[in-house]
Amino acid sequence: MKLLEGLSAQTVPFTFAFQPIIDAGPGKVYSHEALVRGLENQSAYSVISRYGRDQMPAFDALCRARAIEVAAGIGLDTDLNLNFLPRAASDPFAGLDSTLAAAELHSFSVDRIIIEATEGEAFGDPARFAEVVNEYRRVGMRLAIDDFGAGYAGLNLLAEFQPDIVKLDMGLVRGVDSHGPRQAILRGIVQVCCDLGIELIAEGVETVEEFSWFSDHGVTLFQGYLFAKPAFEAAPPFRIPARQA
Amino acid sequence: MNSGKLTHLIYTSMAAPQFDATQLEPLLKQARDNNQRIAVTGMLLYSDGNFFQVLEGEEPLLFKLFEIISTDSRHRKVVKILQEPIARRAFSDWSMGFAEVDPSEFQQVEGLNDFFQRGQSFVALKQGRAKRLLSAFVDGRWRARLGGTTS
Repeated sequence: MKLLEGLSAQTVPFTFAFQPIIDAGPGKVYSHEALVRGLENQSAYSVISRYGRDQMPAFDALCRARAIEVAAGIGLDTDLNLNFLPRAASDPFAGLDSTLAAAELHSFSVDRIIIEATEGEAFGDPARFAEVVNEYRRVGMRLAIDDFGAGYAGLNLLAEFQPDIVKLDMGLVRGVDSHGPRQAILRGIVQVCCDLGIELIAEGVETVEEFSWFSDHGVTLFQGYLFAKPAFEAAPPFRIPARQA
Repeated sequence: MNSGKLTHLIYTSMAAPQFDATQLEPLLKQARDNNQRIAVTGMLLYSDGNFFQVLEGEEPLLFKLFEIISTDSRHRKVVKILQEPIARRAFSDWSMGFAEVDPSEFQQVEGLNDFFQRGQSFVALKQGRAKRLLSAFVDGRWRARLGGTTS
């Protein structure tokens, strides 16, 4: 823990970029996902690879506190998606306290925070996973399952536990407009999410054709280069292309 | 912030064959009296023999209530859609809000406003799971028995 101990959020050697999640219905930003970056805008990988496995819980908790600080610092006025690695932590509830403390310190309403965890985090012990994330939801944060459909639990996870939001894995999104099996799977997921009151975000959308297919199937929330790339310590402008007929 | 374990529970069911709409009023009165006593709030939708109910309250009381509701002979095929912790109530002013949804009102969520007699409107309900699920029900989802009208 040497690298992380004693670091206040002001002296940590990393910062954040922000990528908007767009609500194409009203044509506005639904939220921003905070993506970790080096102080000179180095990639997330280069930052994360500085830390060992045993440092991940502290890094994870510090990331969320720092992301809230940076978001508050640039005056971000939308909701904020923060990544979360509950499986890394020996005490997964410890991260809740630091997230709440950062939110309070920066007067950032907890209602605006969306915690993102991959379905892999729930793998093996979904009941434990539900217990952890439900503590976050109890204080008003929402939970998004990231990379949904990338493997592991899949739809089965939704039988045990219903997140507020599902973010589709970009592997399912890619080329959906011309890929029958993906279309069939996604139609099923869209219906399941509607029945359970789960919001659906199509992530990694890069083409107008993908965007149009999802729009035609009732999906309105999008994240991807087609709309906006992540911006270093800023909320970037975004565009919503015209749908294909 | 709430110190207790605030939870909501959402279920759907079918009215028993002998149940008719004239029994709705006594059912509601009973539910409201009881809910007020145990600080349960929520919303009940009824559409052509289908019930859809959102219950909010403190965890142990709410689960006990649902056990009792589940064995009530006025309905059957009780399907629990979900239960999960919430930070605050969506229906804090309602010991049990009620709306009867005409099957012809399918897909007209805004029409629900007309059924809310008191100040708060459906549109003003905070975006969240309870509202999304109510919308889904009004949209024709979660109905075991669909009326003659097609949606």
